[in-house]
Amino acid sequence: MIELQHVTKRYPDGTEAVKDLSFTAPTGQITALVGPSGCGKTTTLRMINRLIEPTEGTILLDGDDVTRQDKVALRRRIGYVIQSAGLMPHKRVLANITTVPRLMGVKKAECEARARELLDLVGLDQSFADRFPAQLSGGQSQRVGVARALAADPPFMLMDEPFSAVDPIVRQQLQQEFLALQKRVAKTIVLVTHDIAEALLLGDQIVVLGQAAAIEQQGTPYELLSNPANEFVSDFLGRSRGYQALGFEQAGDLPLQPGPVVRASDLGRADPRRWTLILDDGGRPAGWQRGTEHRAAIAAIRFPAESLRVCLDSALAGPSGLGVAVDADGVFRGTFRLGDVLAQAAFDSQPWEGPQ
Amino acid sequence: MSWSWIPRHLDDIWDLTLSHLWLTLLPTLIGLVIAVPLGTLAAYLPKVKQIIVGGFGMLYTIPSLALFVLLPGIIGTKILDPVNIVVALTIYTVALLVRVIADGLLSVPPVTLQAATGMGLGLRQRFFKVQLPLALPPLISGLRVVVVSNVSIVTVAATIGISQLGSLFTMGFTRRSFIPIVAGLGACLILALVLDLLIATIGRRLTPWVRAAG
Repeated sequence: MIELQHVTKRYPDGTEAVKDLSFTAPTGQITALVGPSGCGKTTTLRMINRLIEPTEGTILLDGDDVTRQDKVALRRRIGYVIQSAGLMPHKRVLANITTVPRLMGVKKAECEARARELLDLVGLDQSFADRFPAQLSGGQSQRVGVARALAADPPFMLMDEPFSAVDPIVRQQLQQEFLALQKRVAKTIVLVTHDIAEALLLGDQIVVLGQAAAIEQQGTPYELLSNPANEFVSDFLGRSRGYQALGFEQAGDLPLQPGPVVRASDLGRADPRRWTLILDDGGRPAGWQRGTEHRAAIAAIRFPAESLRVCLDSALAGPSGLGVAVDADGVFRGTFRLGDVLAQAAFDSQPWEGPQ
Repeated sequence: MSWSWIPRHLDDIWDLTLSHLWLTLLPTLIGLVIAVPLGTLAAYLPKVKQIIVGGFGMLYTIPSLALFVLLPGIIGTKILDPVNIVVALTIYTVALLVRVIADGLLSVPPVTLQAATGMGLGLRQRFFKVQLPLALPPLISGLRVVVVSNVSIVTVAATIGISQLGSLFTMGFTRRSFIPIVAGLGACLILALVLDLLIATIGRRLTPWVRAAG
């Protein structure tokens, strides 16, 4: 657990980067600090590992005051991941990863064996072990950065815009993989980002910061999306917050219907006037067909669905407002109607009957 | 004097080459050892940098012959003592390298240094394991310039009677023959090339990441 109690950072010229900030980052969870640039979120992060010393207030790591600990020893207990990875350009990947454990006196062979496990864990092939950082792509560097932060198996991790230097497709992949990784390692993480989508995706808890790191709202992604505390937060969440909130709504008993569907071998039996789903020999969806029109892309989702949002997206992506549900092996289970998804999303809305 | 003078005096030329090598390498090494801490100081303290870089810059403008002649009076050596040459060249070496080292240390990206600190490297560890190695490429380039320049400056010492390859130039002058001059020139050239190549090779070995980036 990382606790900040009334933390203030005031510079000699009197400007306050962070003013009386208190929050708790629970053990084993990701706490995302999000806010516009210049709001003091990075300053806050750097006070936790004492790259910046707080002017006032207390920061506790599992109850221990960070200012009472040796800085170097403190930092070795905290994995640190930064934008563009910050790898040591003169060291090969393996040496980069083993830096901290080596400094702590762990034997070289032991460090390297562990580093090779970490390469697997972050999804990098062993052939990367002997490369220099200049020979890596942005995404690969960032993976090495995460592996390096995990090398000494620290209980805490600080991540400063860890995925913002890579292109959107790689970023999405890294974020998903990082979530899966965190499920296994369960570190206590404070993550700083300016990207609300990243905070919503990665954060178990989100702290929205305004000027001088004043807390505008603190809560789970769903709490923020469904009930933003003020205009600052709702502006920051952006226009699609209603749609995004659906990502946290469970899809309840969405009724599945067994068709319209036809085996590829029976294509002739499909009704030429309506969109019909074609299944391959294995029973997996292979496309939509109406007469001579064909759509190869199918936004099939696994069922039961993880959220209403993916159901909605699947139904909207189909040519006829039908979503496609498959099982874990990708075998067709049924279709569902856009109207049924919307009905679930509509909570308890009722038609307005006019003034009573 | 005929061209056969050269093969007949190969032994002498070899001896002169050895003393030339000695007079070049010793000040280069001493200068390097002095320049590293001075350059580091300059990198960390901007005001000291002005004084150190400015001061040595001025010393560098003193012509070598003048320095060879002046030094005995300042450090109390005899006029023919090779120590004068070593001291003078050490000054030139430091003058060139101190700036290279300071600039090299400062050219290390701040984000790399901050990452190192954030990971838990102490100041000394950060300096020796990160900052100094990353300043090696410019330092090696600087060292190559210095060593070649020193090979050439050492020849001037012949005018004050210290024997090395430059002595072949004075000999050619007094005997009115260009043959020893050509021999000395060739030997200097080969010596400079060999030393330059040696430092470049060692440098490449020490900085494998530079080629990886290319």
